[in-house]
Amino acid sequence: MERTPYEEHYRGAIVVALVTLLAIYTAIPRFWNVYLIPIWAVCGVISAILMFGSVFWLPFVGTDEWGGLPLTMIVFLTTVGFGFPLAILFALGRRSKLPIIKAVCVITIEIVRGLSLISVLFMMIIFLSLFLPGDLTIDKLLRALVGMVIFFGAYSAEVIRGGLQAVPNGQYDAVKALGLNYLKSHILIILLQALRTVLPALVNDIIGAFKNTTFASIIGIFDIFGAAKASLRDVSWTRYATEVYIFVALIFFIYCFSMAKYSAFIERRSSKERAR
Amino acid sequence: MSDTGGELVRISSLNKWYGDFHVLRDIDLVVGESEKVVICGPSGSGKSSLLRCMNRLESYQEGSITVAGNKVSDDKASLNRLRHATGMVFQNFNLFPHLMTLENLTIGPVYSLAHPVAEARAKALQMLDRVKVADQALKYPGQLSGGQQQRVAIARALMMEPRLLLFDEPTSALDPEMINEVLEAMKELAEQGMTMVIVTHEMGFARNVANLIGFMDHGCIREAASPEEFFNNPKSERTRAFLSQLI
Repeated sequence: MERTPYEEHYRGAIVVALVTLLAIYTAIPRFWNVYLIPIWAVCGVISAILMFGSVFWLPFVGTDEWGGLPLTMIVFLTTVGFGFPLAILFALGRRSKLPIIKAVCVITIEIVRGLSLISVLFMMIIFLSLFLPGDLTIDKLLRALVGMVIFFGAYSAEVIRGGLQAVPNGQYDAVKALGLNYLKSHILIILLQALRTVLPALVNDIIGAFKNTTFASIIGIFDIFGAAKASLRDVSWTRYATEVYIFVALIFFIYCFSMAKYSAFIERRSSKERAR
Repeated sequence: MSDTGGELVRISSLNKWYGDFHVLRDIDLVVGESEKVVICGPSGSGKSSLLRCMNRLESYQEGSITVAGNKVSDDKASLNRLRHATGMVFQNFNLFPHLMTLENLTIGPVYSLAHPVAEARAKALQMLDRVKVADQALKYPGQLSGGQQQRVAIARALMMEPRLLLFDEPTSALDPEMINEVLEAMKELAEQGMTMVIVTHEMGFARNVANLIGFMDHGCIREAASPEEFFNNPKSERTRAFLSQLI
């Protein structure tokens, strides 16, 4: 399998820098604003252009040639970015009074929770192609991403459901008495409180999702861990195995530790408002 | 929406069950425009359930309730009109803890009635002034005392310009010295002609403010009378027993 040619590596580096800077920007409460959503969307488009290429002067690079830290970031952000809204929908759906919606959510959540991530990924990679017509192939990375999004969604849905149950009944009474409809009351009142309650557990899931990106290497996607293993197959690199693994571990530690510290900061910040 | 001659609420032969438990039995009650009705009675007698049926926080099985010309039912449009016509003040305030006082007040008009934000803010400050907590506008509910929180809750209900205000034991969760400031605010509202249905154990307040006092026991209204008659000459034995324990 061909990797991204060396002279195109700068593109991945730009994606990593862009995403990291934007993440830091997003993390600062002063900048919290709805404009962050289109900004992230633009960042996604720019990253996609940089990664795929084939526009402007950039030569095309297929997803099977992607690798390293940019791929890890893409897998992580896609998982959380799509998995988190999915988790909210699953959690609300599970509490829905409409039997069909409730059944779909309960069944999906319980099946996915009963599986390990690796089996979900194998299902997406191997089984899916058995069921699809022979000439129809879906991009391997895309299939893995869908698996990871559903896995994250199902797990976090239960965490969010816990938060929803912790919102006092009086809050539901109050929004009804004010005549707020389901959508508005959930966005403005109920979900905000529920998510705040379960923030520590949710960050746990998000950090877990970051570490779970390494499972991609098992199904032949070259995230940073897969890339590390691949480069060690090169004889001239083999003797640096310790250094390579320590470096990868360091990257994971920096990202995970900052997320944990950030969540502690957010908790302190919101507990100020709720001082009773 | 047609009103019939100054009558705001009409409840007729209302029955409600929680499973096998018969909480409300054949309730009949009429509340006129700008009347103040106080409902009292021992705990578990169905006072709160009756109140919560009036703005459809709870459903009922038999009978009918009409509020401001809307039949209380699950019909979406009529439910919406009902919720806009009624305001409710709860025992535990139920302010939104993650929003500042001012935002607690504006959220209803802005998101439920689609009023402009600036207009809602101006009105909110006015309402907070009316219940004497204007200086707390930029604080969070957790930073206020119980009495202040309940007055904010009253202001929040007023923001929707309701025709009927429901109070569900508004002073039961308060420290004794905070009860008066809340009752004071309610009395002022009553004097301004607001129609109010109040579930409370504050008998002094009931005597001063109510047009009608209803005594509930085991899901029935045992006695409904003017304050003078209710306190001086109660008809039912059960009412007398209840009053003798209170006074």
